[in-house]
Amino acid sequence: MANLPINILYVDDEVHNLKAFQATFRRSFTIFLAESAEEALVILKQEDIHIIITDQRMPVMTGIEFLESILTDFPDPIRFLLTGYSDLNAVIDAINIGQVYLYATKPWSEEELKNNIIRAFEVFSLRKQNKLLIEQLSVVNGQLEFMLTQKLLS
Amino acid sequence: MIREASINVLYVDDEVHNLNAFKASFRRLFNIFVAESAVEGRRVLETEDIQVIITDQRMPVTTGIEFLESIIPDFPEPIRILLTGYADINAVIDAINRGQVYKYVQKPWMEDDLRINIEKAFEIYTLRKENRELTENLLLANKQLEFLLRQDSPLH
Repeated sequence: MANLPINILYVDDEVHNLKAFQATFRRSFTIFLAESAEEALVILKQEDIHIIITDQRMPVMTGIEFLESILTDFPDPIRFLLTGYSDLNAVIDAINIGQVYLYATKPWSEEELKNNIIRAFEVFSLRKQNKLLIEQLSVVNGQLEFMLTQKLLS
Repeated sequence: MIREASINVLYVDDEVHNLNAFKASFRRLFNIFVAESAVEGRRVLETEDIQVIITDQRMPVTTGIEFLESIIPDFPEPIRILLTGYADINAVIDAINRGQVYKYVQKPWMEDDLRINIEKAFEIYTLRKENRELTENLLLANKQLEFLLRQDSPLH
């Protein structure tokens, strides 16, 4: 599959998980890593992140709390949660209220996570493109209306 | 939760009790159409405006993947979801990579999980459709604008 220019931020307090993720996906995507919610926020402020993947179980702040906390300032990246089966109820709630787009149960499978990333990037791109198209269309329609009014007046 | 009565879902499965269970779980959320075979599934696609197709993989005569593959030329737009057991995962991943299947859900499915997948599939369907329509409208509006500008141009 062709390499898409997808920027992913992966947040996990366990360093060996970060390394495993990077080793698996660094040839397919551009990966940014953070060991905590705090570090992740710094990256979000500097980089144009398309997809955020976070572990649920972290000290200080859980994955859901982290995703909730960034929603206002960074509403556009698609939010994934990695979680064990025992947290599923909390995750379904978080999806229902829009904090989480998708969850993957741990241990994740490479193929599945990769497919989900590519699907999520399509959603990200289409949302963005459609927003731009609506803006452009409204500009052009405004110009059209202006010209037609002038024609009627002349 | 939003009630999304405008989402038309076709569910294909040769086991009638699965069709009934699916209907019972989702009929309050979506418009459900059921079919017991690939042939019946195609017939529904010909008469109804279906946005999401869910099919079981293991069916006699035609498998779920074969069914989805067979309808792509005539019905490329509905989002295709496959229900499958662990044993078929390799075939499914292959079908996803070739674009025949958008997503698979493992059996037995969980109601919340499947509902979320249907909602996400509908979002993709809608975004793609909006994208096509907006692009067409923008092209058309640009052409009209160009035409008006040319009419007004002193060079003509």
